[in-house]
Amino acid sequence: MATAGLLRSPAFDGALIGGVLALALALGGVAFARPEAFAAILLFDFWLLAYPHVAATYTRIALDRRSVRENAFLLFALPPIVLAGTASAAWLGGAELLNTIYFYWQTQHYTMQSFGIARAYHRAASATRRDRLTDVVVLAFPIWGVLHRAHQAPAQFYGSPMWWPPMPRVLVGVAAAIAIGALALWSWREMRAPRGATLFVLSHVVITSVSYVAIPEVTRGWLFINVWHNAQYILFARRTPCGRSRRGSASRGARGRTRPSASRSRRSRTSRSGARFRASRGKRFRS
Amino acid sequence: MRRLVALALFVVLAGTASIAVQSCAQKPGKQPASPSGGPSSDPSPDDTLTPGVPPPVT
Repeated sequence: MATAGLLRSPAFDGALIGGVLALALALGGVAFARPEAFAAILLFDFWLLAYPHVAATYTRIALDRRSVRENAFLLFALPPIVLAGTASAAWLGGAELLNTIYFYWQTQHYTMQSFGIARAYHRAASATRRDRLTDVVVLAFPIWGVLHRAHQAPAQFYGSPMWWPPMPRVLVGVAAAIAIGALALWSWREMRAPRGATLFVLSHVVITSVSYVAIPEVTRGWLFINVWHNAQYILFARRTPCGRSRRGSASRGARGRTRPSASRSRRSRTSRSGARFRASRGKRFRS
Repeated sequence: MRRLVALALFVVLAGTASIAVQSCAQKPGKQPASPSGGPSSDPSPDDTLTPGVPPPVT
């Protein structure tokens, strides 16, 4: 288990899994225990984590001319579409509609990030078959969490009105049983052969359960997972260098570092693909 | 290392089961205090966001 199946190194993966989880639990815990600290922690979260996490996205899609060309739709067409969509939603449904869209969409977004990172760990362990049990664990906990919040049906989220679908308690119980049953099966399997993914998926289970279920108030619960998601993305985006150099190390970025021998052969492939890329860029910009 | 992972798996499994049991005992519609300290249905001026203003997408 020393470095097998890790994304980069024990120190990096330790920070990505343990460090980010500890930060989210500490900040969320303080905001939960001392409501008067909520605003200060939210400010910290926005300026040091949330906005840099958005900026980190641009380091991956807009750092050189080729990236800008490849991502032209995301950079130039999508922002006005999003602006028009948001304005229309606000005009049609007001704060309640925006708040409702935000809550469900952020849950989906955070879950998909976990899903993607779990897949990256799976690939880093040189696994070829799809790991459906891990997928079920990653998806089942946020689903249980959202159903639980819908059953609670708080009148407000984040100081604004919020709509919840009617949710019978029995459905929440079924979702909880599926999530915990899948976790039990998965734990039994992982105990026999732990991988890098094991601790990552556990951190996802912990933060999701705390954020959506254990913390009774929806906004303070949300803060836990928001800190976790932002800090996690900033670290994960550091895993692959940005823009032009990213392509040169694409094979390393996509597969992660696994065994020393694999790393050596990968480094040699990386340098070859980097050279091919530089040559193709040279041709492209000369023509 | 393997024992530590096994312990972590056990703790998380037991913890989530305990959370599930506690959440089942919760009554719907009964919300605890909002982040500002007041009831969530009555946000105080200290609330981090002005009511009616949607949260920034983060």
